Amino acid sequence: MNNRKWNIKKIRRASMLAIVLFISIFCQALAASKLTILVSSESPVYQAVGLTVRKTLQSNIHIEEYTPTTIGTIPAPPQLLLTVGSSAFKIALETFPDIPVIASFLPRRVFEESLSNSPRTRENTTAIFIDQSMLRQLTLARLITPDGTTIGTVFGASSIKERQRLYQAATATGFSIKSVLLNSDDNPVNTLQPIIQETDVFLAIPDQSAFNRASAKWSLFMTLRAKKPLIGFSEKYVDAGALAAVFSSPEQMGKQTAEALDAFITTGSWPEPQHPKYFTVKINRQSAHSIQIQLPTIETLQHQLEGVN
Amino acid sequence: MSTGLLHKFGIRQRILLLTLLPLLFISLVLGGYFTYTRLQDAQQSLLERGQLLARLIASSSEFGFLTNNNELLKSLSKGPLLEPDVADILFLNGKYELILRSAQFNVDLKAPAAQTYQEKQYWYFTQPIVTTGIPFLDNAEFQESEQIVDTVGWVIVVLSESRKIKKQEQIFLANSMLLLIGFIFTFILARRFGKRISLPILELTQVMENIQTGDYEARVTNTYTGEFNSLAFGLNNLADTIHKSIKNQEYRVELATRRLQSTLDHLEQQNSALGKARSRADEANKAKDDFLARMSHELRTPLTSVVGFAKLLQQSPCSDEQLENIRIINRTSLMLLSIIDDILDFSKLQHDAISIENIPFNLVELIYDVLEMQAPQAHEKGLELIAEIPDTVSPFLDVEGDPTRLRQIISNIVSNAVKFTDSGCVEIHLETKPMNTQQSVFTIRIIDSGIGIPQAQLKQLFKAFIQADTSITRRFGGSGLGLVIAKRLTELMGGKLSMSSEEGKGTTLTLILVLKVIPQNDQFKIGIEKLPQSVLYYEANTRLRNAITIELEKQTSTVVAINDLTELLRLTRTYDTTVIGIPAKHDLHESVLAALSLIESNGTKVIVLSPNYPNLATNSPNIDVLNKPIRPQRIYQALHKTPKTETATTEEKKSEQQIRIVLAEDNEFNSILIKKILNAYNFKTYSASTGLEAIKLVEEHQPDIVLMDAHMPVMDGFEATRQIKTRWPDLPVIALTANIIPREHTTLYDAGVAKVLLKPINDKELVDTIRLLTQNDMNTKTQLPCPDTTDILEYNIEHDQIHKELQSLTNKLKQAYELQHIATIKEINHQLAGIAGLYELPEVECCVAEIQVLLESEIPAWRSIWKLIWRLCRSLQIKTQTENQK
Repeated sequence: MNNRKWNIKKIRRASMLAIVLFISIFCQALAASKLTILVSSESPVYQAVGLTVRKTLQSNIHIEEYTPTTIGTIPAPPQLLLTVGSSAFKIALETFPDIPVIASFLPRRVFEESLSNSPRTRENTTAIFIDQSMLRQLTLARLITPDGTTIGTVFGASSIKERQRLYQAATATGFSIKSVLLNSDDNPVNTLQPIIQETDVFLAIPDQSAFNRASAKWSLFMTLRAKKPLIGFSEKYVDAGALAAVFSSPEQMGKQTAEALDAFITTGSWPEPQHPKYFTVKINRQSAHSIQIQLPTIETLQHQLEGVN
Repeated sequence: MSTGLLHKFGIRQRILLLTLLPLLFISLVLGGYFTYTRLQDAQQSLLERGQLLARLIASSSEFGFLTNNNELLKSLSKGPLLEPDVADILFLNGKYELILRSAQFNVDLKAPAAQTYQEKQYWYFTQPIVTTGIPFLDNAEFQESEQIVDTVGWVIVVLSESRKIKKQEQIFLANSMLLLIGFIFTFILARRFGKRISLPILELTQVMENIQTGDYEARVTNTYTGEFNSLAFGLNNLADTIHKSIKNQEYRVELATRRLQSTLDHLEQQNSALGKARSRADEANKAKDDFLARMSHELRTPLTSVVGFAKLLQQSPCSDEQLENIRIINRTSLMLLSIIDDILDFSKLQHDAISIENIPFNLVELIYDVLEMQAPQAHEKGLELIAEIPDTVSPFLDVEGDPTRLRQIISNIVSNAVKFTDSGCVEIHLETKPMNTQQSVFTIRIIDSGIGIPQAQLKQLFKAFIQADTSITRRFGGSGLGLVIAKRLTELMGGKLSMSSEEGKGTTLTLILVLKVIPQNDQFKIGIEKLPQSVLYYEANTRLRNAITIELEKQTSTVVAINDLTELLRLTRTYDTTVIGIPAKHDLHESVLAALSLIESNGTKVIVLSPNYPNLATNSPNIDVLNKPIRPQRIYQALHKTPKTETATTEEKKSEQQIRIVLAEDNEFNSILIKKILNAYNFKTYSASTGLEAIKLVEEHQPDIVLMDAHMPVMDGFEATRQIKTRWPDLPVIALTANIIPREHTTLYDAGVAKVLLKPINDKELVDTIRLLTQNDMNTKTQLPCPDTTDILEYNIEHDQIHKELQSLTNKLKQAYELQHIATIKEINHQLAGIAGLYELPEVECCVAEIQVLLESEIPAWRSIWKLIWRLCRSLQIKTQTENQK
């Protein structure tokens, strides 16, 4: 009940704010007639995001696409800038500090850290994060292990900033967190082994220093050995042996970005930075068989996770 | 392998070698290569195995290292350690410190790196233990690309080489065995196949050798395969062909041999016939020689009689007309004799029967001899004979050659010159030119002032029986052989005779000879001492005057030569000696003789140089008469001599005192005559009647020369001469024979005689020959005119004595004939021949010669012999009667 109240209030507040913003930005949007896309590289992943934006974008707007290497060829300061990937966003922060930017396909902590270090204000900057919200991931964990009580994870130097959101989501999903900080010099096996042994589900949080390929391997090895579910964060991890993962594809990311752009072009105001609206759930039946766990269907999981942000 | 060594091998060995060597080579190369490869593989396998083990253990050890689980590591190393060659597995931490190992032997660790190395008998394979991961990111947004190469430790696998060595040994052994088996198999195979190739070849070769050695029946009987069969078939065919061919050839050879044998037989028959023909020809030739000898003898004998009787007639009281007739008879007889001699000589030359002597003689003397011989004829025609001997030629010049034949040549030419010259003179010029230290070229020119010969006929003259004009024969007579004989003789002597002539002016014959010059003794080199006399010399003929003046100037201090009689008479008193040359020309005699009588009355010493014929009746002791041609020595002697006491002949005879002679002559009469001749010349003579006695006398008295009769009892002259020449090679031997057949002369010369003299004996020739051969003092060599025969009366041998001896011998001959005792007849006949020859009894000589011929035949013709004996008796009777009539 309380939750419903909180939601109504928020919706009202948001609606009000949206109206205000819409009105203020609408005027700006009316003036924007060209979209500049800056992709981090010519990698197909980024190209797929750009392509999906082009296809999906409802607004009639001129689109130009650049890469960091061709950024110098932009004839005039862009009216509206879409960055795809972390590095494109970082360049945009430095090169076009006043231009409205929508950053797509980058981790939340990169966006926040980069923006915090930049003089740009949040007013003309928004983002579509690549990583799923902690709540959606823990919801998935809950769906997989309805009886699980503890959830273990390892933080690295950069992912430690996610700890608060994890704990909030754990509270929301009924899990208790058991985590540990893993430095790059530490023996991953020795660190991971007790966490996995002592928790019901192990959640892998991407971190360069803590959760690298070796950690991922040993996590996988030990969770399988301990017959504990491992919730990954990418399709490849599931392919490698993780029990399940929720993730967004570039197309899904492009689609959501186009919707945000359409909204901005239409209303003149940016939506709040947000986790992916569109996502995919993938499970590894083999791993499930190994750890002897019964999983619901993907459709069930997909359905149950929709709406969870 | 050298080619030479290869050649020593037979085909079987060669095939084996050719098969085995490449195979062995290939096997060795391949075997070696594969062995090497396998050994390398073993090595590589060891390395790969070690590295694989290290890698596997390293990858398996990651978890153990991460969890520090030594037990896990130990269990990991258990499996590999079960391998026999894995000696140890070492685990080291990231700091390269040993954590765990399985063995306890000392190891030598190198710097931490992924490496493979060997120490002693161990191989070390070091491999790092790294952390590995899995791909788990869909994109790079969650984290940047990571480099998680993290070495957590090291694993070292130590492998022992023992297994590898064992394996290598096995490989080597197996390969060697395979090689050996392959080689043996190849050897057997090659031997078997080689035998299949070589055996037919060897068998074919054997058959071929058999065929080569003459076994033409040899054939290849075995059956082979392929080409060998064709070869065998071909060889058999070839052998058949060869066999047939050889048979054919043998047949042909046999046929040819038979033909050759037949030809040889035929040739032998022809040879035999030829031999017989030659024998007959020789016999005919001999018969011809004998005939010629007989004929010449037959012709000469009556001619000698004619000459003898003419001389006898000349000595008898005759009218002038008769004397003239006798002279003509004499001259024509001598001419006939000369022609006969020419024919005889020509005949001999035609048959090369004349051999040239090589004895020493004096060339100048020879020239004067010839001139003296020809002087009577020349002077009779009013011709002067002039000898022009240059100063360079010593009068004592001795040369080696054939004096007889040279004399014959010059005599022939001079005779011709005299014959064909009506007026003027005939000159002999002698020139000499040294050719080398031993020989000189002598050129003798005979120049006449005769009728000359037309140029066209000059060459004809050297052809036999040809004279310049047929009218010449009629006018001058002669055989026409003189020049031919002279030319042939000159050529035999190695000389050259040429002729040049100008019609109406005269003819010059040039005789060129190369003669060996005998070095002169010192005594001959001493010049003639000039007499301190002044000589006035008159000579009408300019050329003769010049020639004699030169000689006189050599011998006297002053010589004045004039050709005017008035001047002669005017000047004669003022000179010590007057030399007057009486011209040969008859019409000048009167005036010169008149002048001579005037000079004689002056009491001046006069030397008259007279032609032969004038009979100068002078008893004046102041006048010396010398016959032309004048020898220089004779002028010298005449100038030296003051009163005329003895004749020159006496002086000469006295000077021969020291010469000692052994005379071998079986006929007593002949011996007496020869002895008397020799005694007349004051030679000391020792007589022998056989060859044996002659040898004894030579041994006892060591004579200067031997006179040897050819036919004597006990030991004939041939054998005696041989023995004497063997023991006393330097002792000269003169042979005396009545036989003119050249064969006997050759035999005598072969026996060693120096000269053969023919009977009848010519006393002058005999004495000259003795002098010549004994090399007497040249001063005593002055020669007398040489008559053709010996005047036996001169040596106090009466004709009666000869006749008595002849009678006695004839009677003995008759008795022997009655007894038909051939040996006795021969002996007596020989003695008769000797006397007849010696005493110049041609009739007797003729009969005796015929008897001799008859006795020589196998069956003596007794009747003919008797006839001849009877004829001999008759001729002796006639001779006796004639003598009695005288």
